[in-house]
Amino acid sequence: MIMRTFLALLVTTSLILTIGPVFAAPSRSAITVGVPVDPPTLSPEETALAPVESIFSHILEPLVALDAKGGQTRPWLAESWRWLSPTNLELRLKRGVRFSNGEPFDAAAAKYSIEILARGGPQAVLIPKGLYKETTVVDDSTVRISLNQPYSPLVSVLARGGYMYPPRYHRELGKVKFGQQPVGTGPYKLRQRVKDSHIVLEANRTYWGGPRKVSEIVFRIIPEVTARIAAVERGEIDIAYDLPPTAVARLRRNQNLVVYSISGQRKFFVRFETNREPTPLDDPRVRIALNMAVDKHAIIKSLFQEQAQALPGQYLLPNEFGYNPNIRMFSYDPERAKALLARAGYPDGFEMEIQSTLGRYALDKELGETVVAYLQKIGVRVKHDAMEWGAFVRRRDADLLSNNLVGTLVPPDPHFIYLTTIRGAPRLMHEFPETYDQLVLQAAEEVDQKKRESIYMRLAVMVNSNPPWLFLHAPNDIYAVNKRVQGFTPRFDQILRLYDVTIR
Amino acid sequence: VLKYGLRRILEAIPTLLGVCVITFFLVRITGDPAAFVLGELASPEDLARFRAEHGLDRPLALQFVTFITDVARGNFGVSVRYGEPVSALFLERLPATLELGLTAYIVAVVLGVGLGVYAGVRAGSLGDRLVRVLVLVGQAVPGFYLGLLLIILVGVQLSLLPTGGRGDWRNLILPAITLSSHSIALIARFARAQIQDVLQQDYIRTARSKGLGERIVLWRHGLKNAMIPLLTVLALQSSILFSGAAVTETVFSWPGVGRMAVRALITRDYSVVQGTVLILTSIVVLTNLLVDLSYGLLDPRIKYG
Repeated sequence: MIMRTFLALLVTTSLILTIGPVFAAPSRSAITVGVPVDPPTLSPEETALAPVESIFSHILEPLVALDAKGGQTRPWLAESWRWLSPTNLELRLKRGVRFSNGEPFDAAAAKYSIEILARGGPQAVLIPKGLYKETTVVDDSTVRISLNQPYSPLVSVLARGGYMYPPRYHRELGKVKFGQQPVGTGPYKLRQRVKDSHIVLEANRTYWGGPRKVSEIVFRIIPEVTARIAAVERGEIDIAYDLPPTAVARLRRNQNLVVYSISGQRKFFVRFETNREPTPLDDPRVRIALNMAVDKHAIIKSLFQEQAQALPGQYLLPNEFGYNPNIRMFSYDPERAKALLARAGYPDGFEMEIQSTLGRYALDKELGETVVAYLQKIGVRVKHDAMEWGAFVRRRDADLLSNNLVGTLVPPDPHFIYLTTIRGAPRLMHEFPETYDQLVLQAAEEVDQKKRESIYMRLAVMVNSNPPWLFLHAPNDIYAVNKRVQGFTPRFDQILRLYDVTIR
Repeated sequence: VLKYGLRRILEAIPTLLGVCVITFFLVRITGDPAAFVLGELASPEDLARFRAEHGLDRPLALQFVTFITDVARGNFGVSVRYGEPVSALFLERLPATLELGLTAYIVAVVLGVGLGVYAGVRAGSLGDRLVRVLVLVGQAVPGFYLGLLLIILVGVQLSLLPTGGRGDWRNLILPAITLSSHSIALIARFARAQIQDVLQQDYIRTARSKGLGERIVLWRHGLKNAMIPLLTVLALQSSILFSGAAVTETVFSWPGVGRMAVRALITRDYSVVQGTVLILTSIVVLTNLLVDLSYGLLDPRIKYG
């Protein structure tokens, strides 16, 4: 009797609890995207994570857009811009645009939003400290940004972080609440958000560019990559975001899916620590030898199943602005590497410690182990310490750090990467001669694209002859998309922008 | 009973205090949330400002005293990641965890007791051997592996059930099986042993010799006597509501408390980890107390002192 009552109670409670905010199957005119992260906020003011920006970029829009390939900036909420002087940029705004809550988008809103960008938050790292002076409203549809010193990558910074906020609504709600209920000028509005489960966006009927064909976009939070792959294979989601290289061959066999594997911006490398105490790494010949000791192409072939490209002995890839085509990649040559070590005074090699992440990125531990094995072949005995991300960020005190540079924050101008390598940058591990730092600062002031590009090319030569990294590879960004979704274009920056997709 | 209950609640306070101390210091050993929130490239000044804003720069002892005082007032702090009170975040996800946990528990109790009793009554038969193999597999296969296996086999290959997410009853089946697999095996093994033991007792022989039907012998005399030790196991297994949830919820994208706790642990969201562990411990302590009290209902000879 007691057992029966007990069971009845359990069943009843369970049934009652089932009535809650659950995930209802989306309609056929909706697109469902599987993303790995539950966004803590949906405001660009507080996050720069690509999977999160992939959601809020449908609600809020920037002044300047970047094309999918990433090389070019193009007008968006700003119709045009011009440099009045090396420190004054004037932008003419699109007229007749309104936020989805009815507030007008005008010069006052643009000024308010630019001030948010300049004030702080994750996007503010793109703007060197002390650079921003003020924004003035010239007329209803014109604003002028004034800087304390010339900074030519400003337009691409506006394209990465210059999202527009409705001033009245943003002021009323405050930063945190706005992140929970964002409003923008974009083609979609937030309809429902269930934490750790899903986010539903519905088409903004009053969108200035006309309503979109897809009425609803559902973002399902699926952190486990195997579950994300299973969901797209089964047709539960239309787009699977951020997939590992090991999934490509299997997914390509599925006739309902199109698999995109495109050149990614995230770069993997091993950083050399030369700033602490005397070390064999002080000698550039040793650092070049280490670069020659690792067979990047073999790593890409066996570990990453060809879904990556080797870093060509400089920070940038061939499709990026500032890449120097005259620099040769460090080719795999263990014999020359040994000879270089001997010439540097280490014929028997030496001992080092390497730290790498564990489980943060696809195959990160295996990558660390492979690098260690290669270095051992030329007599460099390396103790490998693979650790969980939090511990890695806290420690970071080895001679070698297997690391990566987050690509998604970077505007299409490489200035931001160079900024992280000069004196004053946080956690600087290797110092170049002062002429290098001066060239980096000079690039920032050079408004002429051609001249700036030639400065970056000179910097690339300096990097190649005095490498601060053991250059490894840039893994591809991989997506699987159901064939019923038409017009999907993967972007260079991992950010989804499903403005123009349709459903078959 | 009231006095006994009150004493047990007072005795639980040191346990909860111990959990507070362990969680508070363990979660701080491997770093703080500043680098997670601000990113790897944040300057030392930005990190210092963040720590000051969240009180993370104060001496540990002082932080601990604040934490304990707040908890005593029912305040578990604010999540660094979401900027919302931990209690609100917990309550928001609790229904999903209870839904999955209770379903898994019912499955575990019904199947575990059913299979165990069946095998116990028919010891040595083919059915008994099959149950013993199932028990072995259930106890040996880890939850995350079984979950992934079910997703690939039942979800993708056979296309019978959804692979994850919280939706209708079909979404519940695979995670509930995964979450309950270990408990089914454990309960079945224990129930089988108990039934076998009880069926050897003199009073069962007496009941049979009185001419009672086998069904009455089994249900009224056998099962009820096997129930008290079994109830202890069932009660202990009730913690599967939460204990296995972290893994199962992550594998099946189930938006519950377990998944929130895992995420909080990775991002060093101290308040969420502390609050979740403390609330869950309190629930388990309370469940155990209720089970101890229920012994008296099953067996009037048991007295509380």
